[in-house]
Amino acid sequence: MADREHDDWARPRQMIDVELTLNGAQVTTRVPARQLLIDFLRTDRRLTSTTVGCEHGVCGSCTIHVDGTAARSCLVLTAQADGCEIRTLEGIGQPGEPTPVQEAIARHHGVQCGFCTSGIVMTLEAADPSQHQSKEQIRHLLSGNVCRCTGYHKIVEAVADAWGVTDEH
Amino acid sequence: MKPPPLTYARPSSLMAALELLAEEEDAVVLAGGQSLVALLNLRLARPSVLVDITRVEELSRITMTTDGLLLGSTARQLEVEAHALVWDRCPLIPAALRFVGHSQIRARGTIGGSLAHADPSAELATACLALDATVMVASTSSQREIRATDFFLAPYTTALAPAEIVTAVRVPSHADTCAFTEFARRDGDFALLNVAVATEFEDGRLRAVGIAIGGSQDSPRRVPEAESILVGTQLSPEDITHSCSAAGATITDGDDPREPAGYRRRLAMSLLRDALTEVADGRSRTR
Repeated sequence: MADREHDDWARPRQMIDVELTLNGAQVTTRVPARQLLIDFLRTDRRLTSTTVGCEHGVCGSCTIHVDGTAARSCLVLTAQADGCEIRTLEGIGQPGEPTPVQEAIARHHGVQCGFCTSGIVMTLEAADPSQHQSKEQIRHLLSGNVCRCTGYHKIVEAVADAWGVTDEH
Repeated sequence: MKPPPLTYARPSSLMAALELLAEEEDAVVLAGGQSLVALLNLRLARPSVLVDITRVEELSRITMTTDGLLLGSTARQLEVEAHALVWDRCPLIPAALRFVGHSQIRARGTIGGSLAHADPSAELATACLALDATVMVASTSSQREIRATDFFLAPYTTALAPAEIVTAVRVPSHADTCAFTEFARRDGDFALLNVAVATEFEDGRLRAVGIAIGGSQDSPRRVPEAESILVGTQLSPEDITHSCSAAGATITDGDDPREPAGYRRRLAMSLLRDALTEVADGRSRTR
């Protein structure tokens, strides 16, 4: 059993043809059936902003956009992303032209080690600010993204600033 | 951790999907993947074939029929949670769905996937029980309907036969006041306990009520002991107290020493009180 699995890395049991849009560009590729989207993004495409944390959907560090909605890339097989529009942090704003959320997080010091940052920004960028007009709602929105460094305080302040949320708590 | 070696198939018709499942003993259905891909990553599941059913168009529809609201099995939870028809016809469903994991999970997770996976704390299961929903299933040789009360047999165990898949769930049109409550240690965690209440009032009195309790210890179930006390009443605070006591008496010891029966009993009574009070308050607001 162990030998068969070891062989599968070199000679995958099955390859799948996949076409998707990645950060606005059309991509045609062929990937092992069992490849996770997070690994396609980081290893095949060298888009390393998205980080691998728990690999079972709990921590949120792998959060990206699938068809405009925030989703866990560790819980998607690349094969499943065929025909989808995928966006990572590399496709949000640009150096020198950050989005309001990106600019506010930087200004409010909402980043320490940066491991969770990509996932947090992707969650925020997919959300509708008008539906999150209190700090409580912002915290609820961020509840699917684990941050071990900041205690969330500066991140919540940054988002409140960017989204015009003025309540105290 | 990465998934073990496997083969992936993406049929575009229901019959092709059913045939693939029937052909291969170790084939499993892949829909949203929010439970299955996690299991694959942890190497707790080693299927030989994944049959991705999310491109079978007919399974994703949300429609109204004469018998009730039909939620296709591959409809995404987030889409159902926001769907105008669902809010209008059966608001208990979105009320339950907003407790499912986090929005990023609900973006991919499906209605049928939650039902078929049968996690004991699955919010959708508790809601479907309270609503007396019917699960529609199909195989290559037959189609059948299974009442929710007959569908969830034990944690992670349903009445699905091998090579059978959930195609939809039919929910009776239930626009009367309802409530869903849950306790989890953190936002998005699996529920220790959840409670769903669906009501039918007539002339200010409860004509019928569905109360279901689910949680990490046991598959969700209806609580007729708590329901029968309320039928015919106007849902006064005294009625609510009696109903909660009856519900508490049905909670027995579970396997987890961190969640002793006494604690779960008090939690169930408290959650049911919250839910029934929410219904009673909702009724008085609309009058």
